[in-house]
Amino acid sequence: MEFLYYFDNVFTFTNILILILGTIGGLLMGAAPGLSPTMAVALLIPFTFRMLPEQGLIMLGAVYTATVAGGAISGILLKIPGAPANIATVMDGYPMAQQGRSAEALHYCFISSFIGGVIGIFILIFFTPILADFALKFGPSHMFWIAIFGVTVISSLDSKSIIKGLFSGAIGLWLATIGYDMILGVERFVFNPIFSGGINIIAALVGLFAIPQVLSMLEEKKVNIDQFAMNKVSLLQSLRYNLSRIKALSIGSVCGVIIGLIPGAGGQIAGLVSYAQIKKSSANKENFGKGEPDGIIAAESANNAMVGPSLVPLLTLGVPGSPTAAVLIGGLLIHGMFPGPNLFTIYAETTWTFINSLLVAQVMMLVFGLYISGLAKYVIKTPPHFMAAAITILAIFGTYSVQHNFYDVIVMLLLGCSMFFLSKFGFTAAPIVLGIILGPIAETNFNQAKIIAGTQNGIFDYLTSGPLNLTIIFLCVASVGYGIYGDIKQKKK
Amino acid sequence: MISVKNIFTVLVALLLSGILVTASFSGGNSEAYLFPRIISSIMMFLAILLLIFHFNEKHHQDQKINIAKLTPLFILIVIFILLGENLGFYLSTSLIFLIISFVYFPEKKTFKNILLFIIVGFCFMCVIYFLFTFLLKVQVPRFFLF
Repeated sequence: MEFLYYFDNVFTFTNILILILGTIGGLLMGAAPGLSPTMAVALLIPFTFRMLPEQGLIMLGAVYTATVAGGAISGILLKIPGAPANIATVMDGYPMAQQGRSAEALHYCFISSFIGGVIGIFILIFFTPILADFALKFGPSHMFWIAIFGVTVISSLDSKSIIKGLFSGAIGLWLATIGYDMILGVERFVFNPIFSGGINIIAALVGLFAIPQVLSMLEEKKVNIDQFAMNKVSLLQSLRYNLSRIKALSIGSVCGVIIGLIPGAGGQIAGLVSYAQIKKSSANKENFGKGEPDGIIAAESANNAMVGPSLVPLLTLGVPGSPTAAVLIGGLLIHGMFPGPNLFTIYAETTWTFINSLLVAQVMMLVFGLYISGLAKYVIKTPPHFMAAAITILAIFGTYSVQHNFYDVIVMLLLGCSMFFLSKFGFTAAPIVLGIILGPIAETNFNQAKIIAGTQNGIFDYLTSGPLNLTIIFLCVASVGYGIYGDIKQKKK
Repeated sequence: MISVKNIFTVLVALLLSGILVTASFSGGNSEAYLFPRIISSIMMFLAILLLIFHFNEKHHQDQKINIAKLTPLFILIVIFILLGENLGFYLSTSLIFLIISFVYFPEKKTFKNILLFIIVGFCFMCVIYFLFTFLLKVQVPRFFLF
């Protein structure tokens, strides 16, 4: 019950103000088609640099929570999911909007998101310290394999092809070696002074997620936006109905929690799996896809229930539960906080304040979400050329503000443009980012393992002996195996 | 509009891993270059796997890139990289905002629309100034006053 000890830290004037701004901003950003939670968090990280660590993390956590829920607004009103996590919501949300029941659909969306979200945060509160204690047993060899596991798991789940996913992860790991070697102090791959300090994580995050999105926005043809009339419906009536759908809520929350705990899986999978499960178990299967509220309730409770558990492996082992959680590591590193047991000892106050704030953010997401969904229709209508210009400028200023270095801006723009072309070739940004983040952890622990192994039976023996090493190696192989199985299944279709 | 064929993917992967393998193995200190060498070798192995699978696959899906439409933005990025620091961030990014809004506006450009771009651009830059210079105290490169 350590979390209760730090609960009042959330309720300072500044923290509450940050939570309100983060939630409202997150809801609006989530509602804007093209602004995914991952990109929103990546764009905001530079802003948090000058804040206190807990304030920065509270801001990022609130935005993460709110963008996942806010993405449903454009999904329901326009059939354009604001985020990949909201794809399943569209299936019944948009037909409801066509029937003039958009307000009702939005009510279900935010109430279910709140319920799922709260369950997810409690999982985070109770599971994280247990896993953090366990992580204390980890030595260099285990940490090396954990870093490799983080890359393999996100490569297999976030990419259409496992080989391309692993290749993307390897690009990230290689990029992380640019600059000075941390143990020997040797300069590597510094072809230009731009790279003497290595690749700045924030520049990489912003470039890899924001710039390709800008280019895609401007490349696409104009989207015709049709909005339907929003009827008035009593919130109390929606609440009563929503709470009576226990089966949909339970399926959604359980799926969200399980998928969130699996490193790399993310909200999109949570939403789609829970939608498929509720459809399978429903007596009204034929109503799904035509405006069945259970479809929205299950999908939305799942994608928000995923948020808390996706942070469990992130905070304890540095292995993110979703691509957005991967970006969130940047928010920790920018304040010199490394994922692992230290977060619950040295930085316990900051960490618990952050976790507690996620619980309060759920309440704020519900309150503001219900009232902002009406206002969000104006944000949805923002023309892509204004949106693209605004994101580009925010990316430039945000990247520069971290180190006051123009080279970081150049690296950000170059990485962003390269990522746009790589994405056309089927490569994805999340494994590259994770490679850049986990690369130094993998290399440092590999070098430490090499030194220790010098006194024993050699590096291979050191890295592959012991039950813990073998378990993590098995998980790495299993994640790659799962990716291969997914590829084969896709080809058969 | 250019079409990205699947074989391009394989060629890009092979070329990229080839460059990285060469860079990693031409480095001096073998101890310091051990990790990048392992990674680049794995990349080469994966690129070869991509090549093998390419020839085994029957249906290849092509992707399209609208290069003509994106060229103005790429030119803007290059100009910003070359002159952004000397022109100052506020001036150069204001120009970026106006040019993107103008070039990518899908409808006919009337005086009223151009005025709208200027007003929206000015308001947005005011927000940026408030956020970065006033609130976060970030000293960005400037040209004369801004």
